[in-house]
Amino acid sequence: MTGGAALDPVIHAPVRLQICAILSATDEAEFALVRREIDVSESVLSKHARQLEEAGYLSIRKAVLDSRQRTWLALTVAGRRAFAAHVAALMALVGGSGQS
Amino acid sequence: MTALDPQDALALVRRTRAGLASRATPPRWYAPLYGLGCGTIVAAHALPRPGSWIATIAAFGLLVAIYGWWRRSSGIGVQGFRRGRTLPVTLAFGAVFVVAGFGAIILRYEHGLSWPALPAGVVVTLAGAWASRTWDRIWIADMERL
Repeated sequence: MTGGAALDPVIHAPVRLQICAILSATDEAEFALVRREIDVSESVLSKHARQLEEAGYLSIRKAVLDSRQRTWLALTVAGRRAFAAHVAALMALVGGSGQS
Repeated sequence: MTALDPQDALALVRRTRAGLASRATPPRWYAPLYGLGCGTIVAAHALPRPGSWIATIAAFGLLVAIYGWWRRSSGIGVQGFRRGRTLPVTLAFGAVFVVAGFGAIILRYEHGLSWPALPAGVVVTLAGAWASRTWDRIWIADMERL
């Protein structure tokens, strides 16, 4: 890993980075969709989602639809800011520019 | 799990968002149906009561149903007023809808003219279909762009 003061260690791990990448493009996404996109097991996704939730970056909502419980994940305002700052820091480190 | 080199991390973010973008496009019928639902809410003012109420409720039902279907089938929740380059599209269509809708109501109930609601509804249908398709195109382009 390349060091950098602005890199957020909570976000920088690959699975959590991918979770944030998906959720930053949506208002919320279903747990099953995120798992499919990242291609990890339920337990791995749950573990990383919980870490993001504990950092205040992620909210988890459960809803019953068609008699089936669905779990929805969403970035909080702090999570969106942190992810945008993290991507900006990555771009600065590789010498590029842009936005998330 | 190991952390990533910045270059690899950015590539992973881009790949992940591009993968989502490839699955996020609504079906081709979504935008025309969305436009039809919005246009019917306006055009319903051309009908006598209770037909106007029935048409309005049916149109709202159609809008709720197609959004609910897409949300369930895609696993993605996204609302029109999200910040970014899509917001001007939402606001522009909102303005067309409000002007056409209130115009139809005022002409009917203040001036006794119900027929203008029909062309107003057609305008809103076309504008709604355009707005829906344009909104999706910008949203997906932003996903792929990072």
